[in-house]
Amino acid sequence: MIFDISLIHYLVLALILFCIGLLGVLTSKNIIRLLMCVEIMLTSVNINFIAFANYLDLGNRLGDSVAIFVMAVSAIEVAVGLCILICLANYSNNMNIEKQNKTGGRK
Amino acid sequence: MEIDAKFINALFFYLFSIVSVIFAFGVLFLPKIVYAIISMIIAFVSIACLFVLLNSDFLGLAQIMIYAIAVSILFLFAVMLVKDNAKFEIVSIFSAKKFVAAFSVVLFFICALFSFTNGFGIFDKIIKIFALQTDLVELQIQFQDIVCLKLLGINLLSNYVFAFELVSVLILVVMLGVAMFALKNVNCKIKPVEKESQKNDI
Repeated sequence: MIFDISLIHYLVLALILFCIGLLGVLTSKNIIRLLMCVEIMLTSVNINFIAFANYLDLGNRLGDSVAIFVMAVSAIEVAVGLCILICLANYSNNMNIEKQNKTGGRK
Repeated sequence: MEIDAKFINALFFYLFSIVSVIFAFGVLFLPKIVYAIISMIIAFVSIACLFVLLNSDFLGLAQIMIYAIAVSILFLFAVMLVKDNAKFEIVSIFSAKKFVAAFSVVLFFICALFSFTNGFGIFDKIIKIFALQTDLVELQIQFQDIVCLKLLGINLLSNYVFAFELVSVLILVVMLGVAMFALKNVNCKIKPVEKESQKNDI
């Protein structure tokens, strides 16, 4: 029945979101858009954790505590990534990531 | 049709999942970067509603606070702090590399879907031969009095207290490191690229 929402629905949804994020990471040339796609991938992983905690681990819901750690680490990753992005934007004219292959020295 | 809890649950699941998938595609394909950020906010809010549907209210609220507000405002500040915003509007053209990337992502999607939906019954025999999949046992117990936040607090402060403290130390270290890195690069403007954009603004 289509109205019985079970674990597999959430797994398929998380897989679709993960594939969208993966497509963005592989194809985008824009650094901000790449970081946003990484965020979408991490959030889809969170959906997986919480769905497993809800359907298979009702007693102690360990997936929730893992999701907290994933959120913290993804926030850290965004902070570091945007810091590097702003320094890079002051340094170079072109923000295309395929052109950013010279990282030796500042001068 | 009779309206019961299961029907409403399914209705909200499909609503929020369709909204989140559409706006996640918006992050990829919207041409302006600010529109992409707003689309990401809407996708994250609908994913937070999915967390609430999965009985974990606190994580839904944390999703809204961390992702939909803090992270998105961080992205918006990054877009605003870079003076020449035309740097971000990179025209993307269709290329063979993108085609290969899209093909491999679709292949990954199909493989993963077959691996955990048991091949929709098509590949049952093959899967049974190679024993790739055991049936997911679903414990559909309805615990009415489960409090997500209580269990989360017990888990985080009893078994995983070391990892919890380690994450806080990690956040502190990253905050100091980012501040140092940003302050170090304040005084060195290497290329004066902002003259032309200022002229355009005036």
